[in-house]
Amino acid sequence: MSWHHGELLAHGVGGRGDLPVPFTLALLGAVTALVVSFVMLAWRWPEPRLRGATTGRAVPSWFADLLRSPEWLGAWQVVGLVAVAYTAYAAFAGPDISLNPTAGIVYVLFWVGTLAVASALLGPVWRRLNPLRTIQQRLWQLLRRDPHEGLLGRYPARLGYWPAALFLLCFVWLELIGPERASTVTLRWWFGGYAVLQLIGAALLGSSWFTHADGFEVLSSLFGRLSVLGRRDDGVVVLRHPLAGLDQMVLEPGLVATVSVMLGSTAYDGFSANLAWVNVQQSSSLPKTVTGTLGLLAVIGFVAATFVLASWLCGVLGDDRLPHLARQFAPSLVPIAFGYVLAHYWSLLILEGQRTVVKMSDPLGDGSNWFGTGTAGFVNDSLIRPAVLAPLQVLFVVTGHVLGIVLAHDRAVALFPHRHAVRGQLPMLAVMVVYTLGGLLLLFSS
Amino acid sequence: MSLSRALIVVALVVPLAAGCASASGTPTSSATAPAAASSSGPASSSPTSASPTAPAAVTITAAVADGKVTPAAKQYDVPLGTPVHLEITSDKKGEIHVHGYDIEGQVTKDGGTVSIDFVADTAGVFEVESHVSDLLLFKISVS
Repeated sequence: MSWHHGELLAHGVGGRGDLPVPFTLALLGAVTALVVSFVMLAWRWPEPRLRGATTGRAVPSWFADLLRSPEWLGAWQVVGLVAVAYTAYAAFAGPDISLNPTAGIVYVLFWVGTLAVASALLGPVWRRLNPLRTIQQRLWQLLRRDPHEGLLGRYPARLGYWPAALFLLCFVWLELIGPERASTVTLRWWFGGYAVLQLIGAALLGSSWFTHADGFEVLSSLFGRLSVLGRRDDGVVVLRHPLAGLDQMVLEPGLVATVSVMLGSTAYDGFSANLAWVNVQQSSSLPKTVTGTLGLLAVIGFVAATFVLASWLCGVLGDDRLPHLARQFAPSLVPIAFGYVLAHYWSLLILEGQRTVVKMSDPLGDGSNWFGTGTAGFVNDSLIRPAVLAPLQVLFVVTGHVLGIVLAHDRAVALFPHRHAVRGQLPMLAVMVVYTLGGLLLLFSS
Repeated sequence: MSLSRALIVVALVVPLAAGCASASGTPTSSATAPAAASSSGPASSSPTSASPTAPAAVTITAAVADGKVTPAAKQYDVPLGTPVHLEITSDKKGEIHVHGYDIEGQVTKDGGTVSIDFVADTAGVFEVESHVSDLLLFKISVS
């Protein structure tokens, strides 16, 4: 069309922000969240009910057999390898311009589309697709070794999800702060480095490394817990309600940090669009990268600190002898974080997702149309028109809140002595209300 | 009431409530398809959305000097379909970019001014940036 196609992308993907949610809608969402929270307290149940480990109706046996079959698992691995090979081809062989699909694939189709949305629908899909896991597994099988055994042994349990939290922090920094973050050169270096570190980790500590230290797999697994398709503790593949998987989670160190990075970074992305913050950054003598990094860390730190504090208060009011209370309650942050992510990135996913598919037909920028999607007329905006978008955003945030407090309530009942169960969950309820109102405020003031 | 039934009730009530509010709260605006960026020069400004009373054109000015924006970054609200005229002065030559609409202008010499014209025909909030000094100049909120 015109010469802007030759432009170097200095910033992230997109550049279209959402209109503020109308005040009445934000208010309605806030009131709904508060009312449901108090109803939950009044209509409390005395015994834990979720029992995620044993909940669910078994799927037909042919379907369970299919999911278990080597052909099925191998097909996922092939899809993962092909998708990453395609992306690498676009990143290395394609021109570094805004028409290159690489940044859209990474930040929209992979980060939001696959790790969040597809995982919440289908389960931990990146675990099946992850080409690094595939490489390590196949290599170890070729060498006739057990993939679980690394050169140094097995992944040490005490590390938990801490490495994943750190890798995720690096990624959200790149996504939200990193200079030239949409450039293929930046992405080549970042993902090249990531792949090397991950493969070294897995070579040393076995395939459990990916389960705990690969930020992308951990995120996919966390959001995948919301899927109605899951596996009971007895190994049976079942259909279940979206809280069963979270209730079933094995709680490991670093879980709170991981969830805080997810929730905090999404909140920072909303917050940083605020002009007051932009003007603080632009009038500061410090470079934007520095103020941005400080802002990102502050928001993530706020989420982690308030959550740990609330958990500690729950312990004081409920039963102070319980260890690791924050970790016990951490699963209830997953639906809240997912609601935030959906509300915040919905329009990006719909609009830039489609634009990325358009760009994918021409990865080299030579005018080819590989998949027949290379025309802009393909893009449809009916799902992000203001009248549709705003109610959806409020719906996502409030639904995440409701799921979160149901889970937290059930957890409190399970953990605390009966007479302390109500007051023991009050701080958790309060902090979740703060996150939800904060999320609505960000949508309203964007 | 069993827990799963309660969850279903909640799942049904919340969207209904949100739906009602939206029906009363927000007018349906007819956002046209995402910007097929109008060509570079002064836009052939015939608003495609056939509104009989086209909104009056809006002019927005900003200046960049010594890595600072004057006036400080703020947001301009314009109705959907408004012809927008930007005038941006910069002490360093380089690109000015209207994000989302993906329209660019070049300040061709140090201290020069660039004019950018386009029709605000997509709803949303759009950032206008100077790429040479990596500054957000202002936002245009189209609704």
